[in-house]
This record gives sequence, C-alpha cells and structure tokens, in this order.
Amino acid sequence: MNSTHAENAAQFLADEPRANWHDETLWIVRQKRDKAAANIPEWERLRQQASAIKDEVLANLDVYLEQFEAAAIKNGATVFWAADAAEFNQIMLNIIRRHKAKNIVKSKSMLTEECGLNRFLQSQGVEVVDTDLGERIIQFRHEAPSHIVLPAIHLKRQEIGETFHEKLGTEAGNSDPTYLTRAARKHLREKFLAAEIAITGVNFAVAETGSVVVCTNEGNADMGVQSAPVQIHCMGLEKILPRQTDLGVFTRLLARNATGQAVTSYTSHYMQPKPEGAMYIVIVDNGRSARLANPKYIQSLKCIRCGGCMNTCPVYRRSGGHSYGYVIPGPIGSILAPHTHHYPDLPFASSLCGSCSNVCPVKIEIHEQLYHWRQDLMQHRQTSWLKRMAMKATGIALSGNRRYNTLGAVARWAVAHLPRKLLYLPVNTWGVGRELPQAPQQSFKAWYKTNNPSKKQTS
Amino acid sequence: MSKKTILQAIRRNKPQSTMQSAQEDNYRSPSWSQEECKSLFIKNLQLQGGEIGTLAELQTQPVDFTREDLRAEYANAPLEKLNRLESVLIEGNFGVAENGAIWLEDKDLPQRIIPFITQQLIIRLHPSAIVATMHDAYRKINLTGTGYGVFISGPSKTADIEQCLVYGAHGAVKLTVIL
Amino acid sequence: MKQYRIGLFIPCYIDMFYPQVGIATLELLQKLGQEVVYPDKQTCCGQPLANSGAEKEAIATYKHFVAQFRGFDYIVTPSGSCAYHVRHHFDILEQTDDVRQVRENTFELCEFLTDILQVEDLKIKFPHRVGLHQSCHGLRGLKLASASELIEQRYSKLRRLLEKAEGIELIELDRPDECCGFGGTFSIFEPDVSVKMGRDRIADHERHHAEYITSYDMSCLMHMEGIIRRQGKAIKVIHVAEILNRNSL
Repeated sequence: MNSTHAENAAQFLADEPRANWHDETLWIVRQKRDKAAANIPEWERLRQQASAIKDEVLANLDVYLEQFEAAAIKNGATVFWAADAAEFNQIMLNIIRRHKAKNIVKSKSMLTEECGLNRFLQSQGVEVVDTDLGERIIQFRHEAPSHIVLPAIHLKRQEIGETFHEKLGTEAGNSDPTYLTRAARKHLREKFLAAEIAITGVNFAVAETGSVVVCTNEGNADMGVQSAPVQIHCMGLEKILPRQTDLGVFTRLLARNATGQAVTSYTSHYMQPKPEGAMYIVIVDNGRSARLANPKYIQSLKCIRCGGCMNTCPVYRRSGGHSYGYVIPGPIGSILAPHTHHYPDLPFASSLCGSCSNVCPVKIEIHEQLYHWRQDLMQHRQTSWLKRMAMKATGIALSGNRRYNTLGAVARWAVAHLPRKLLYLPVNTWGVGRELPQAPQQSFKAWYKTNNPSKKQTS
Repeated sequence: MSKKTILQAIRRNKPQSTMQSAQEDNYRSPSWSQEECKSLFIKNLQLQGGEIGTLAELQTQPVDFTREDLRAEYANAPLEKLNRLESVLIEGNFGVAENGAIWLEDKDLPQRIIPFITQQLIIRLHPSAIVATMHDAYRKINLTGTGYGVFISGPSKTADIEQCLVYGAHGAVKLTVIL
Repeated sequence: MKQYRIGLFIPCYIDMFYPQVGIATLELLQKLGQEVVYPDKQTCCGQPLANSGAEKEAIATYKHFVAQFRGFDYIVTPSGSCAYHVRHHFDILEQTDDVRQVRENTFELCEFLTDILQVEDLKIKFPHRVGLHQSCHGLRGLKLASASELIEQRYSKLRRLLEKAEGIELIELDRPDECCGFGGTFSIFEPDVSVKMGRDRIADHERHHAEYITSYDMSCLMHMEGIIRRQGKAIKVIHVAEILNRNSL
C-alpha cells in the first residue's frame, strides 16, 4: 500500500456510520476486557510478572531456545530454524513435498501472515485452507486480516453473506450469523477430514517441556492437528516461556485481555506426534534477533499478540486495520513494523494517549516506543523535507524570547486580520474540521508586563 | 539450516543480564473452600457456554469413554466413524474454578480428536477435583510422558461475524459437565 | 498553608491565545498566599517539536526553559501535557543539578494544589453541569487520575478539586477517559481521525447534558472548542483554573 495512514483513515471515515459501528464494536470488546480484568484483584501484579518473565526470556533467549529444541526432539518432534521469511516458506514447502500433501489446513498464525506463506505456497501450486472462520472469510475475499484476533472485524454480515453465497452456495440474502457459521462448519469439516497436513501458529512454547501451546475458541487448531497425520507448528522465536508454571500467568492474561473471556474454549498443549504421525516445529527469526540488539525497542518482542491495544486504540477504532498497511495493525504493529525501510508514517498514526501501554498484558510502553520511533525517523530523514525544515525553523523560533514573541504576534495578527478564505486554505489542515482559536487583544506575556501583579503586591 | 546463525545473533545481541528467574512461585492461591470452588466453576463454565447436567437428564446416549472397552474399540477407529459421533462421555481430570476449564489428556482419550469431532461433549468431573486458578492447574499437570493435553472450557464458539456469538464453529456444539 | 517561591510556566499556546487561563492561574496561586514569579523570557517546553520527532531540534528550547526556571521551589503550569513533557522527556539533556531540579519540581496546577498545597476546599461557586476531560498526558503520564484501563483504586485530582464547588454537577461519561484526538501535531498530520475523535468526545459530554467541558489542558480544549465553534454547538469549554479562580478566598 502506497498511501499514508492519514489518507487511508480519511477514506475509512468517509463512511461515518460504518466507522461508528467499527468503533463501537471494538469499544465493547475493550469494555469486556475491563470487566474480565477487574475480576482478578491481582491483575496489575500479573501484568508485572508477565513482563518480568518476558524480560527473563529475552535476556536468556539462546539458552531457552536450545532447551526447548532439545526437549521437543526428545518428545519426538522435528525442529527447524528459519532465519527469514524466505527460508521459512522454503522449509514449509519442503515438508509439504516430503509428505506429498495436497490437502493442507491452517489455523490462525500471524507469523505465516508476516512471512506471506499462503502467497508463496500458492505460487508453488500448493493451496492452504485457512480454518479460523474470520480468516476463511477474508481468504475467500482475498483480503488481509484487519485485526490480529478478529481478522474480519471490518466486514458487515451482509458482505459475509454475499461472499458465502458466492463461494459456498448459501441462500442469497441470508446473512444470519448462525446460518453462515453452520455453512462454514460443514464446508470446513470436509477440509479437516481430508487434511494431510495441519499448520498452526503458537501462542507459547515451553522450554522446560518442549510443548507448544495453542489457544482457540473455535477448536480449529485441534480439528486440523488431530485429523491430519502431519502437524506443523510455526513460532516466532520470542514465543518461548521458561517453565510450565509460567503458563499460569499467561493463560490468565491472554483471553481476558483479548476478548474479555476468562480463558479460550481450548488451550491445547502439543507434546508428541500422534501414533504414526509426524510433528514439526519451525522456529522463525525474521528480524527478531536483530531487534534484540536495540535496547530502546527490544520491548516489542514481549508482545503475546492479544490485540488488546487495537481494541483500546482510539485511532485504530476510527481508521480500521487496513489503514496501517502493515500485516499487524494498530499500536503494536506500528512498533513492530520495519520502519526505516517501509511504513515511516506509522509511528505518527497515534495521538500518544498511552491507553495501549495501560492495557498491554506484558507492559510494553507502546506509546513511548512510538515517540522514540518518531525521533529516529526524523534523524534518519525518513520524514518529508518540508516537515524537517519546518521543525528546524520552529526549533529556532522557540528557543529565543524575541523570536518566540514575534511568532506569537504574527499568529495573533494573522488570525485577527487575514481574510477567512486565506486563513482556511486547504494547507491549513487544522481548519478542515475546526475553527482556529480566536485572537485575544494581547498575550499573557504582554498583559503581565503592564499589570505585573506580583510586583504590585510585593511593593 | 540457520540454527547456528540465529543463535549466534541472539548471543551477540541479547541484553546483558545474569540468568535470573522471574518466576514467582510463591503465588498464593485464593483461599476458596471446596464449595466456593465448585460454585465458581459452575458460574464460569456457564459464562463460557457450557452446561451442568446429570446423566439422567441427557437427551442422548453418549459413547461412554470412561469404559475401557469402548476406549479400546475406538483407539483405531477411522475418521469417518468418529465424524458420526453424536455425543461422547469423557472423564475429566480436574476443573479450574476461575474459568470453568477442564483438563483432558491422552490417557483419557481413545483418540485426540474425539472431544472436538463429536457434536456433543459430556465430561464427568469429580466435584472435589476443582482447583482455584490456572496457577494451581499448571502446578498439578505433569506433561512428562504425555503426548497431548487440553483445557476445554465450553463448546466451540466464534464471534467472527460482527462479534455475534455462535456456538459450534468447528468443535463440539454443546458441552455438558456432570459433577 | 506553606508559602513557596513559584515559577509560573505559561505554555506557548496559552500565552498566545488564552491569556485568561494564565491570569486565572496566577491570581489563584497568589490568593493562596504563594510568591509567584513569571520569568518573562520563557517560551515553550519544546513538546510540539519532540512529538513530531524533532527532539534534537528542541534541545535549544529545553535549555532555554531550564535557564528560565532554575532555582524556584516549584514550577507550576496550567497544563498536564507540558508538565509531563518537562518531567519525562527532558531526560535527553545532560542531567545537571539545574535540569534535575527543574524536572522534579515541575507540577501541573491541580496536582500542585492537591499534593503540595493540600488544598481541601476552595469555596467556589459554579452552578453548572460540568464534564471532566482528563487529558491523556496528565491522566496516564502524571497519574492525575486513575485510568480506566488499570485495575486500581479510583481517584481524580481534578474531580476532588471541583466536587466541593457550590452548585456544580459533575456528569459521568460513557467513555470516562478516551482521548479527544488533539495529540499535538497529530491534529495536523492526521486531521480526519483527530477531528472525528474530538467530535465523538464532545458528543459524549453532550449526551450527558454538560454545559461545560473542563480540563487541566487547554490544548485539548482548544481542539474541542475549534470543533464546537465550527459546528455551532452550545456546549462551552473552560480551563479548570478559570473555575478554581472563582473562589471567595
């Protein structure tokens, strides 16, 4: 996507009733989260502990990854390591070819989205069926997920009804969610039963036991994994937790913060392949180890992909996931995206209100990270020349009393005397939806000079 | 394969810190009585869409996997047969009061897919086998020697269409717990 | 009440466009017996630059700020956002004694009144329905109130100062502390989302029949006032200093 977040957001907001609906729907999720969190008196302590565990993981990542690999191999799994998206995709293709698989199902995995797995496999003649209902919907529509937990949250039921009518032959005009879900159940049940390989993402991987943990509400991860002889679990290398007991902390936080449920319907722990089956685990770097080197931004690797920051973000709710252009939208996406090459506008797609940092279950200071990214992008000349020059000039103006006073006088004069047409030229983006402040007769400084009440009082 | 390069990069880049454990295993479980745990479990299970019932009330004749002979019979059953399962009865290991989840593992299941592929899942749980929180649960679980384990806390569900809650996305449409 | 020597910090946009807020702040502190000095060569805390990514370009402004405000017992400002910026983001300066003291001693007006002066009742009369806009930097940065996301004891320094006012009716909002969308230069670089956020915030106050929206940050109010005037709405904005200064001390 070449257009900026601001342009995409403007387009999203052009249909205001729909934007209101999107905002309200996600706000309800935020409210459910608040209620679920409030049920746990020790909530803030849990967040603190989750954050500390993730710090521990990052500081000892190599140790825990090797421990995990050894335990997983002992359990009978085969472990692969991929340095980047290309290597990951090739590993996946090799496994698929080795098993001569034609029917492949996949449950939700943001990592495979990040690496463009489906697109790559398609180019090699391999079809993958996404089995999460939301993901299946957007796969039918050739769209990207607009939310990491609620991938089809940007769509209205009528649109989904039309898609299902076209792809699954449901009745025209029927957009009842239960009816549509039943149709998807029937359609995907066939896919599950025929599956030769099931691919899943990974929520947590436990170093101590070599198990991978996957959380779903639909049960699609298990329907796939337990039907297909071959199971492949794909994980970013930061998904490691040291100990099984750490899962106690994270399973208490994840679903409550994501959707307001006390826990997902299914929390599955995969240890060993099925009898006569095969189990693969693919550990992916794709930029993560490089991020470790930067103490300023290392925090982003603590993310557990709950989506809580999206639901609470007032900008996300009013601009939609697709407006960001990066595979992970919203506040966390804006600090995970590889900015200096692409997406230089994302750190600016925030009012820095800080709500994201307050809901984050692992206490990532998301809004502070956004602030730091802004500085770095400016330093690396990733912002427009005009903006950089304007900032330089403002910096000079604000650092001296006389220059500052002149600036203020000019601003007040302009607001008071320039014709409205000139004041509200389109270049004045403030004025698109707002009036400029009215110009007072004098500044506070000027008033103080003449009145100087403190002097009067003390003299 | 990139294992070596990745691990090298991590060693080069990771923050300097001693091997320090963040685990706080002194977590104190809430002091809920057996009765409180049970009533919380019921409340939370129902919130997740699960039901509490008795064998007598059931409208269905479940395949009873608490019986060893039936477990053996289904151990090698083909998927087509499993796909025709209307309802099954499984013995749950223990429940979790704070979220209504029940722990099942390989030894309880003739095949791992059974709690998902059946239309209705019925789990029998001893009312004294309910722990307070997930912390307690994970202290209890011993995965060593087990290939698979799962917490189930309700029927399969989705809200992917306009956030409307629908039970029975892919897994069991109904979950009944017999205490 | 203890008397302090206070450096009055009037943020740039208040100096330029809302002098009445500066006057109210000054008068209020004087009525409370404080020795208030307004360093008259002050300019700005540099936040507009830094929030746009130009922290480096703001350093000269930061240094100018520290030079103006060193040596006071406290630096008090009618802005949560500017106080937060000085306290939190002046960390890139070399931490000399002056810098450290300026950072530690900079207070937003309401927190200075409640935490340092420990004001209980200002004997205000304000017989109106008022909605509180607890601006983000003050709320989540300075912790002037409990944030709705956190599971903690509920409190609000702004509410505490206002609730004793005679005749005042403080309304409850559907979304107690959602951002109004000002966000500094965000309002200029993302005008559509910014205005939409502002309109939604105002609508929440209108739904609960507020006559006034008040805040410890005039910048948010400037943004909302701009929308209110453009749309010809009846609801008004007022800085909390202007209410608190209507006392009978």
